[in-house]
Amino acid sequence: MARSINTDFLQLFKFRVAEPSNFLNPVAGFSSVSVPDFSEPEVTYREGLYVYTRKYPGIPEVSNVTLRRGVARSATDFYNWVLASINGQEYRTTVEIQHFHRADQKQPSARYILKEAFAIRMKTSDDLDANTPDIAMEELEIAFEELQVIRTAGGLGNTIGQTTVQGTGTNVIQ
Amino acid sequence: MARSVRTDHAQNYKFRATVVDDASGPFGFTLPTNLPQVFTTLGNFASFSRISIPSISMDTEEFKEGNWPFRRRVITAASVDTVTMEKGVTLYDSDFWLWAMGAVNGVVSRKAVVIHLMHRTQEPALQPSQQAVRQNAPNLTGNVSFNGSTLVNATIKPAIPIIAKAWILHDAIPVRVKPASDLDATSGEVSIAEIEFHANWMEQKAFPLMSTAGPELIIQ
Repeated sequence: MARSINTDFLQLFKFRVAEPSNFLNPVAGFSSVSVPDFSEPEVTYREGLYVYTRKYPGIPEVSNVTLRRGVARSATDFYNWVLASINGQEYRTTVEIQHFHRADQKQPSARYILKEAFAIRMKTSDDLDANTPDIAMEELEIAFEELQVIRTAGGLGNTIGQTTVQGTGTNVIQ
Repeated sequence: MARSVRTDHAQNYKFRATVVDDASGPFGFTLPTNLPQVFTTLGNFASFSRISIPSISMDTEEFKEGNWPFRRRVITAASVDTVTMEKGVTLYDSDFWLWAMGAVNGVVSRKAVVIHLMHRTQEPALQPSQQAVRQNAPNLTGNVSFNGSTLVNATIKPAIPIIAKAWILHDAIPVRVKPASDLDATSGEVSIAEIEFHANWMEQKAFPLMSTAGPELIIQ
């Protein structure tokens, strides 16, 4: 018997971005979303009797995320989100990047949750150029503090592995 | 086998502090001898962006004895350096200011400052039988027994940071307060409040040596 579709690896093209505070509207349409790096740079320590340098985990860091989509006529939500922090309104939210398996229609197979996220940069359109027929793309860069990765079994919503990554927030000690 | 996390050196960045009444004066202040009981007052601990750790300096006096060719020295007194604590300014927090103004206005302002330096280690290693207790009774309180193994005081939740060192600075009085950073329209940095205090004496408490006896040592 041939392999089941359930054994297929995840592919890059099936994803959406959800966000409860309605900063991103509509939630579905993005042409590209970057997935954050998560790193923990090493710190080094030496003592006289050690031949090799000891290394320890340093302060964890998460990189920013960039969202891109075509410029639609009435959509100004990238601009409004950046403006919210400038104007002193509520500007933080939890962004969830949902990554779907080929077999899944409703339930994402992987969820990358960006906590305490806010928009730090937007480019409202690609540079104008009379020589190209390309679609104009707008771009939004999001900074966030803490990354959570959840992988679920296909379609069923079973959590088979869950990792919480704590960022540079001050309240990580319980 | 690779080194255990417990052999790691403590690092600079995981710490917390609280300020409590030092009611009974020198040598009368007692914390629980079993340090982890401090966890019961966890809610009072605050996070800071920076805390200086004081040196203790000893004054010495020299003297000479008639039949002895070298100078002798004795320690006459020890003093504790001042400590500076810094944290970001928020809407509703005036703790530094209120402590300092209490001192200025003659309110009793001597406090004990407790500083905890956390180790990277979080959860004490459980014996398999004790893991079974934890898994089967995650929400029970008190002493929980399961299959002949007892987990003492099961209210302690997993992933509790272990205190590498605790310092208790006694009879602390504020000597300088800076309620916010200097104002600067060219900077977007977070405004930092500072308080500097002087303690008459200090204690250090270290975490007791771990044993293979399991978590009872840690969490009872």
